[in-house]
Amino acid sequence: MSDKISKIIIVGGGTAGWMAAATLSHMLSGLDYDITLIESEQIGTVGVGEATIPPILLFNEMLGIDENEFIKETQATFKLGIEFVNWKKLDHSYIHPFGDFGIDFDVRPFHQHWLSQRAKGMGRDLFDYSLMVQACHNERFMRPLRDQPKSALAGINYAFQFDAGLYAKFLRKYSERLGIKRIEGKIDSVKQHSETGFIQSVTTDDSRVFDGDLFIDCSGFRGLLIEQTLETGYDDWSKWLPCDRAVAIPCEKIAEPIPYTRATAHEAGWQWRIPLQHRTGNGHVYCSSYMDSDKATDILLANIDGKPIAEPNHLRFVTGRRKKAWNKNVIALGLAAGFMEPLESTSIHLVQTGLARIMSHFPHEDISQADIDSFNERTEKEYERVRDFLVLHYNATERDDSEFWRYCQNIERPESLERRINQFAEHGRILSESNDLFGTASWLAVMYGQGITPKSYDPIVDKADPQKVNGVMEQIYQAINNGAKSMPTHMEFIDKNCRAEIIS
Amino acid sequence: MTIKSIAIIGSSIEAWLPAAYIRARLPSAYKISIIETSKSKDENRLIARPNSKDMHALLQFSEADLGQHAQAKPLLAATINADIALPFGRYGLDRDGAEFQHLWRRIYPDTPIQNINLFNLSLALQKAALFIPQAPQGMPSYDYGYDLSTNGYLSMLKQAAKDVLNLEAKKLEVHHDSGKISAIDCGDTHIQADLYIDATRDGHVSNIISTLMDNWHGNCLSICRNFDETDHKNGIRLYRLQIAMERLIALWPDTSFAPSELNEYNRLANAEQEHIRDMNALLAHDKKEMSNRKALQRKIAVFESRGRIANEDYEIFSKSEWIAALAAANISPASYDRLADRADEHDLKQWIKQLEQAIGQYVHMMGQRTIKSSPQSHGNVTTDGNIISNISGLVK
Repeated sequence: MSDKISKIIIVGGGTAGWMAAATLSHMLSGLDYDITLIESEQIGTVGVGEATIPPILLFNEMLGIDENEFIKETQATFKLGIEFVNWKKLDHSYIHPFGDFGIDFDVRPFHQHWLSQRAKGMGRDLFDYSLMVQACHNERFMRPLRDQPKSALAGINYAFQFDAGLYAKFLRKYSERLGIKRIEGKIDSVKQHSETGFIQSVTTDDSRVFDGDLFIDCSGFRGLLIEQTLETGYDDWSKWLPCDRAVAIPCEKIAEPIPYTRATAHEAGWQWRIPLQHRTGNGHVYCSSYMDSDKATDILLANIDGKPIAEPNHLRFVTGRRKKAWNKNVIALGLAAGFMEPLESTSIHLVQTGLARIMSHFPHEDISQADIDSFNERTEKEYERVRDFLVLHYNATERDDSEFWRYCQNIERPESLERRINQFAEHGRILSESNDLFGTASWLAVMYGQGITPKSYDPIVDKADPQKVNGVMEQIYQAINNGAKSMPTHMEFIDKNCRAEIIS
Repeated sequence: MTIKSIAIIGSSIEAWLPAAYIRARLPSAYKISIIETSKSKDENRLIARPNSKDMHALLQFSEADLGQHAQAKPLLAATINADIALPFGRYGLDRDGAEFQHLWRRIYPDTPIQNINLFNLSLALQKAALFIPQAPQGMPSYDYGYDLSTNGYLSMLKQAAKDVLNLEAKKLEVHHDSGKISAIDCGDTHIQADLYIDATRDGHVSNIISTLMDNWHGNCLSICRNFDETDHKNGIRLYRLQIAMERLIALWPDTSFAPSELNEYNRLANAEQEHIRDMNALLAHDKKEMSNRKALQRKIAVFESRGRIANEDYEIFSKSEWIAALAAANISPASYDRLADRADEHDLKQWIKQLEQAIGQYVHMMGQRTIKSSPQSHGNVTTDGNIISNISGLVK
């Protein structure tokens, strides 16, 4: 490769493909690039409902998207956290909220004061100190009061739940406005350079040839370019995350949507519930070694709210990541780069950060191995951190009521997760690590929610008078409680700001 | 069991900073002893990097105090030698989503990389022996640290430490059992403590209880065993102590000394040490050492390829400091970030020229004003050592 990168081919539409198209068309506007997206209507996308995490706000902001318009067009709802039902044990639930617990004071983290109070038999349950949890319980929502930093309502942190198909359409419209070319076609063959192995062109089944300098592979699980052509290889993480099947089905909504996603653990996996404005997305992720697809479908159908509005969509996957997300002149995004079950709604986020990394490593006159190595190293770390967080949910459980859960209890933890659990189990410490996707509050919510109880707490917090600390904590609770009560309901907020048109 | 007593073994800043820091963070019920080892010849001056401000706020050292007691001079860059200074401020201004070094490289592809230093306002001001606390709007921003008198600063630390039992080490006999120190015989007295902080530069005490190179073993934490002479010049000597204390407080142990917490301290300290070694190898332009350092090699390769600075986990030095060090080693990017092509070439060239002129004119203007305003000043650090208050009035 010696010519300037000028032709970019995105292979595959769907969420990842259109996120890539939108980002590249926006970021590279004003430069002489020819960007083409090739997708086939014959190939379905995986997208069902999609739940996101708060960094999606930055993505929308970067693209200059009007949030209310985006919500209307994707039938979206707001999301303040994820409820985990039956994960720690049967008949137990907790919410992993977006946003902090309480507020740090006396130069120690809030949760250390809470642990100290708890050891003395004082204070409330941890989740009482989360505004987002209180808002979830009361089905309330509003955007944060950023101009009132002292208000409890300044700390509202949110994301969205939306229809992935509509999201792809929304981004397609955005990208085409900026000059992206969309080609309807199924890729039939791929031509590589005889010496370098770089991809030179792709040919569709109607014999159209598309040359490219850089290819973004968003072709899904199969990895048309990154794997089928370049044979990059895949790190299989099934030993840590054994679920390998999912069955998805949308259903009619029977009540107003709630501002959180629900993940309910079953006998050999878990079920998602993503409430949208027009319907509810459902799916059952399970492990085929412990359950067959018929039983998985029966369990799903027995646990959805309303009448199904489509046939069950069965998916197979192997949890893990491509050994190199960037290989030669191909960069894989989305399912082509790796797969981790949507337990913490990280799929779209990983596409988003992949795109940010593409922009910060964007090739110029040629493709530099140093950039490729740097990109791949960062991608690997990011995937590993998400993996650790997901493994935590399965491994830290009291459930032993099925073979699957007994297996999960005995999963050998990755070293990085073992370290974090041990630190928490000792003195309740949660130390942020660089490039952490999940912050202190997330680790705290899930470690505590899953039943890991620290033996002790940070000895330094004992320097404060416990009664005074109790007083401060009660004030924090009252501020949070009053704040949550003062918020409009989720549907009141949507009705007022971003109600979508009713579609069938 | 809670830690109640701490013994610090060492001398100078290394011993007294931990005492002052712990005293500021923990209740006075903690008993702190310092066993002062031989007072070897120390550097007269000490560099405090900009991020020392948080620590100084904790220790209640105001800028006026630092000026009065430690003869503080503000510092916009750490001078390594006549050819290299690591700036505490940015290179140029970003534009159209591209960082300045890419824009500059696009316009000046063949110019020696060192010329980029003309676009660093903190370097320009420092070279002209000028100090303005804050960059004016529309100019490359910067922060500042201090050049301190070691003795003056040490006196401040001693005062801040309060109620410390200070013993002279006539000898240093470490009694230990099963990887833990049980007592230290320093000649006149046996000192027993729950936690021992080894503040000797050669890790004298911790080496006795363990042959491993980790910093924390059992009840003994070594905080400066990997001291390098370059650490004086780039401000790492003080900064390393500061982060050692921040980390210790974040992981404050009880007498069980949980291995998970000690391991975490060591993991972070080791990562930090590697970054420091990378920078020191680059600054020394020690080619053999540079070639042995994988992360440094990667950093160099990424910079050479397209002028990007790859941020590593637990990075110590800023992007600007890395650019300065790489430029000083004559490592040049072959290309630049494609986003730098967004701007019209002619327009970009004009913009860069204007920026260069603006920096030059600003420095010249400030030099004139300073001389007019304060004829007795040295640069604009007045001879009475009262640094900031006199200077801030110059920028109007």
